[in-house]
Amino acid sequence: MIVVAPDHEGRGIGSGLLEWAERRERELGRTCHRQWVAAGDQSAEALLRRAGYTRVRSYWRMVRELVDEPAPAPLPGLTLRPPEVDRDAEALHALDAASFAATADYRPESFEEFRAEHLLAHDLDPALSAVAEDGERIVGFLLARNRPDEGVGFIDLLAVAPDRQRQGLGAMLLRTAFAACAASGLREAQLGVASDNPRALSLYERVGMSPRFRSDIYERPVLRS
Amino acid sequence: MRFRAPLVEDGPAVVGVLRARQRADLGASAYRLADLEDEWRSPDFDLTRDALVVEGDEHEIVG
Repeated sequence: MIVVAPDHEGRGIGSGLLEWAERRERELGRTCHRQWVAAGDQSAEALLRRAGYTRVRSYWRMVRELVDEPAPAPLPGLTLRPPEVDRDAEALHALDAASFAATADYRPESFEEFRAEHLLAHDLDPALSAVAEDGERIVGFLLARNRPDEGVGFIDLLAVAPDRQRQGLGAMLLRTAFAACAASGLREAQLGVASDNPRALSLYERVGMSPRFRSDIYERPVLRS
Repeated sequence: MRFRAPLVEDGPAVVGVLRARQRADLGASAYRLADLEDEWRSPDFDLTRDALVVEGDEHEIVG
């Protein structure tokens, strides 16, 4: 991600950073160059288009106001509990990969990357998160972050086992998180979703979430000399 | 201007640029130093090789 201070645009900083980033991506053996741009950052968009990038997808920030949120009853046969980072880490990593493998923006993540990014995040809040079990098997989970300064519960990950999808489990986990966030005094739930994941978008709209802003992903192939 | 690898102590200034950028593009920013520290601690991230900062004329971080 390239970031230029708004009062220093137009001085070649973005171009210099982009050139450096592309060199580093070649060193790492990447097959495509990729950049995130906030929708509305016209100078960044123009820079990338001049450099041959095209927009490949977008991510929506979905939000929902929280008022008085009743916790839903668990689906029959399932139990809910807070996640335990050490005990659940491997199962959550495996379920995350299985759940997202079919989505267009899926990129495999090593166990260490998954653990660092999602389970060791400074603001992960197990009290706002949930693991759904059928007996001993974890069939879905939701990890949420507590951002009390903004009054926001941010849903970092929602994963459901492929054989348990389309059965209401995702909606139940979301409503459970909404209730936990509201009980903690948070005023809003947020999450990010890819624009080319229509099933997820549909689910989030069904539980009352709506888009607030958009980020765009631009890519171009790495050219080998 | 000078391009160089960031130091850990650049974190607050880097967050300042990120927040200014997000406020300009999105109208608000919730990004915090702890968020950046999470990213810089990632096992697939090497601060000396995977990031670059740009210093302005007065050594302030501008990119």
